Amino acid sequence: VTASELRCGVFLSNPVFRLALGLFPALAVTSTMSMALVMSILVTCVLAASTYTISLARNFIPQRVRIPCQLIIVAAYASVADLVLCSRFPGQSDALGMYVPLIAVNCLILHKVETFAAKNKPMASLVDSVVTGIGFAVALLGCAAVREILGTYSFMGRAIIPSRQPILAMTSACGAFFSLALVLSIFNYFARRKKKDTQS
Amino acid sequence: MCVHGGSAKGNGVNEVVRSALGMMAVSLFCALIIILTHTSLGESRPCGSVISTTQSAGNATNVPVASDTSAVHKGGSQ
Repeated sequence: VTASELRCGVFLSNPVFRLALGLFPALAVTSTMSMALVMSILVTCVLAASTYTISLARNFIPQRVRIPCQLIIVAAYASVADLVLCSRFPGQSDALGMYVPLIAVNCLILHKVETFAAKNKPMASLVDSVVTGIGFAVALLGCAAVREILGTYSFMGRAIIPSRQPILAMTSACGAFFSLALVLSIFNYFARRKKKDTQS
Repeated sequence: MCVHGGSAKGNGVNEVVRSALGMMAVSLFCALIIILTHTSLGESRPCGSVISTTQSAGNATNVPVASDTSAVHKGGSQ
């Protein structure tokens, strides 16, 4: 993974902030940093495994049934991720609940599988999926940091401002939209500033 | 004409058969992956439907709404 590829995946074509894909995990599981981290790792693993497999088998899968085949492969890897999480990390599995099986229908994974993995070589697909996964993790962790700090006045489970009443709305569903908007606006501000600097 | 029709039909059937075989192969591969994962993980913790059934049974037994309401009413009357 080169620096330019990483910059492209994290900033220029961030799946959440630029492509608006995979928004439901960004809204649903970002109430704490640990949940966002686990979801990011799971999505990255499922994305990498699915794109690699589909890229390997792209010449053998008939064109007419390529989308059902891609869905089956993604669902299989999502099931594997669910089984592993349930078996090895039961606490996180209970916390994430139904959102782990729902990785199978994540738009980000389906988009990458159809637009990139089905047309490119396995290693290129793997690198692209890892970079995309890192960008997705950055977005989720950014939203989770805002929600956890403002909603509980703590970070990674440790209290930052103990004697104050936190903004409890940030831990609810509307807080997810607020935090996404906040992080997106900060992201856009820096992106525009960098663009102006480049032009001038 | 008969030969043309026959060959076109044959190509269509071939494509359908190829698609079905492709999907079957992918399904078998995915089933194999899931079975291997399940086998390698062992039975360390019951997953999926077992948990949900237990939880729903627990929730069903933990809903004594009538008794709670009666307790509230008793408190109110006192």
